[in-house]
Amino acid sequence: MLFNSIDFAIFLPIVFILYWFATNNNLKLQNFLIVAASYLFYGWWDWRFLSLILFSTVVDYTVGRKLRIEENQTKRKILLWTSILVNLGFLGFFKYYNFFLDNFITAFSFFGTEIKSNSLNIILPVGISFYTFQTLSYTIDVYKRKLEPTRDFIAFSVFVSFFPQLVAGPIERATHLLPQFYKKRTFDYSKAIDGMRQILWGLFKKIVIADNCAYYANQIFNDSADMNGSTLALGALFFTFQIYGDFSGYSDIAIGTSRLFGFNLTQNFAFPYFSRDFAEFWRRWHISLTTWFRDYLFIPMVKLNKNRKNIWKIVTVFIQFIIIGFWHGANWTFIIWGVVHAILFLPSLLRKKKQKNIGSIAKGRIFPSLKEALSIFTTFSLLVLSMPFFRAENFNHAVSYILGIFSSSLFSIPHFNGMRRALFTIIITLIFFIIEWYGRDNRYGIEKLGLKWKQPIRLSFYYIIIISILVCMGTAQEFIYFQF
Amino acid sequence: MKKFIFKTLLFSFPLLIIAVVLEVMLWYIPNEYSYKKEYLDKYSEDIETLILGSSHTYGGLNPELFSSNTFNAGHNAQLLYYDNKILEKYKSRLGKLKTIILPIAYPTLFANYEIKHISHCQSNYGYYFGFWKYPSFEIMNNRLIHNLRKLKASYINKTMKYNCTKLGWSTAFNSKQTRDLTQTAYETLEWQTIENIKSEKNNKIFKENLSILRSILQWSKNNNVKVLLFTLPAYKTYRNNLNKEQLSRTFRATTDIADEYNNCIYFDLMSDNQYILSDFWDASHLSEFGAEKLSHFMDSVIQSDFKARTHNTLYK
Repeated sequence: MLFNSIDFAIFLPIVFILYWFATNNNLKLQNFLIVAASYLFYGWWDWRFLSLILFSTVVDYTVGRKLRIEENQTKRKILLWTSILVNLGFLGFFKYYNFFLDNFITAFSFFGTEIKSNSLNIILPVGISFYTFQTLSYTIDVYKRKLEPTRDFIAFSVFVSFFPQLVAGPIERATHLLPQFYKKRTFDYSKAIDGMRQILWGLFKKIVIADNCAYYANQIFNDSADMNGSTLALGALFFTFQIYGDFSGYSDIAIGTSRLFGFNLTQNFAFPYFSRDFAEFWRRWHISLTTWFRDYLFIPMVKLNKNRKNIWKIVTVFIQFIIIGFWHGANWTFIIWGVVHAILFLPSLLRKKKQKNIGSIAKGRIFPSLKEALSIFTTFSLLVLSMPFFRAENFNHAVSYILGIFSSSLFSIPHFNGMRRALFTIIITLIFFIIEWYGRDNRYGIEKLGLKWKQPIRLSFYYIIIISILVCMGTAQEFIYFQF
Repeated sequence: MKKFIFKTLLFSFPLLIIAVVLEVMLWYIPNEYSYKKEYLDKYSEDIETLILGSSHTYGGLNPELFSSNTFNAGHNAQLLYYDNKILEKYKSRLGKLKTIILPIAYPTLFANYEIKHISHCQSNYGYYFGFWKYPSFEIMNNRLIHNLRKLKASYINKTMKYNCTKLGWSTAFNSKQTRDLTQTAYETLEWQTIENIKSEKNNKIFKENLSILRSILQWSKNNNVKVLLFTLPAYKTYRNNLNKEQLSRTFRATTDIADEYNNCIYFDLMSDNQYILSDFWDASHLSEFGAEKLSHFMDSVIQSDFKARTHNTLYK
């Protein structure tokens, strides 16, 4: 079920009403209802893959329970690795099997050995990369005794399958989300209104910004061989906004929906396009994934080398970014994208200024200082230039796309079909960018915007957002991150 | 809680009212569906040749070029399901009917309402013919801006015109507005090529469509009506990029079914080299020039009382 579909517009109020009225505020009933709703939500796409979620749930719940009573360290490790192998095994098979098979065949043929093997026609279960990492965090935290394993199977099932964030995150930690399923929830009016506002902003980002930008980005990327440098640069810019609107829009809808049911999810995006360097960018972009890798991969790896030499840190950064890239998809382009970001991240690491730009941007001022503006512009430009690796079909396409940008036609006027119509998208994206800048110290762009306005003006503002969503509806694209 | 629900409803109320008003206003704009329904209601007793099917017949067969009394009841993305429904609705009145023409295109036997490019047409069959199989709203089928333009053209400017002739032939496939033959092949095949055609779901759709086709053929046989099945000529950019498995399954099933019923004949014209560049409107649709050739050909088959030989097919 897509958040931007009629199905979801019917599903959500029904679940909401049942949750608050039919369960009589009974915690167990509420949790059971969310599990049922989540399975329906997921099964709407393909019910067969519900068995995968159920299997992961049962395995991790059982492993967690056994870890609680097991004192023998070797047995504890076996239990941990059982969970890791089962979860990563599913992910590896469904997402990476064909990639590895094709690359083995290519590698062997390079050495003169022909291997005949057919790729399997595998459907990638939606959201598998997200819920796999979420359940893994539970087992690892229980193994490290940072978290008491749950005895409540239903609460654990909700944790794994919670519908707002099941298919595209935020990837929640068990330490943060699971305890919320044990506590009695009472309806909070201001929280629910805030949730509605965040859902509205998420829909705006997805339907108005991402889907409109996608139309032009697709056109330019599909015909990139015939486009001039400035058009290619514009195409990369459209894609940069598309992916942000798409993914952060999804996160906003997920977080807003959770608030309607009384839950708080982790902030997943913190205005990453205003970052002053790449270390800051990765603290603001897909926060739930980067912190997952930081806590479960980067820090343990750095600790492996007690001397903590720079060279080991650099190796660790590269490994982490390559895995982050590969997490996005079974294609060399994502791996290269990860390498590019590792390189862009290095200056902050080597100058030991990784923690430099931590505070808010241009705090207390309307405009950034010249130095801040230059840093933001440089970081954003480099980000846009890395995007062809994320979007292109293959490595050659990405390289030729980037080389095409730096051709002599970079300073000519962009030209493609529908250029005049694209101006509308550019203007509305610019307005969106200004609103985001205004709200950069909040959790989402319009969190505080208009709260002090008179009611008719504030309501008119929301109606304008709704009308712009309705005007742009009809060219709905699936959420990009569903494929990850 | 009650305050939240009340305020949400109050906030949504103006939007709901506007949506309902727009839906009703859109519904009342005369269009090709309402026209065809009206024509069939009035003149179905006189029809000798009935053209059903999708855009391939809607734009590809001009009834005015037929010797018999012909009407084109086809429409863009019209599923076999709706062809059958139209036939069922009017069969008691089609006393003079001698021939039905029905296209079997590359996606026909694998198509159902779930395909995005098809689903948006379904509300029209509900509103204008009364065939409500799947709930669908007109305001959701097009972008709001498109709907507003339509309302303005119809209610304010009064310039809304039918995109079809009196006998139901589409005037939209005009050679003055042809589309890129490579780009359209790519765009069309992106949704027409079905992923994993052997899946349980696609097998079910395939069987359902075959069953509908059989039902049309059986009724026709019982009523001495001949059925002319055909596959439209397509440009090489489209032909060369088809999924062989989907294509051969479609053609095999159609030739088998045509052999099964002696009142049926099937022509595979996909690679017919009589159709040249100017005959195509896009990679898989004919322009008015192509439609003229095809209409004359179909008429000659009917006039020869189906004695013409079926064309060679690559996949028989």
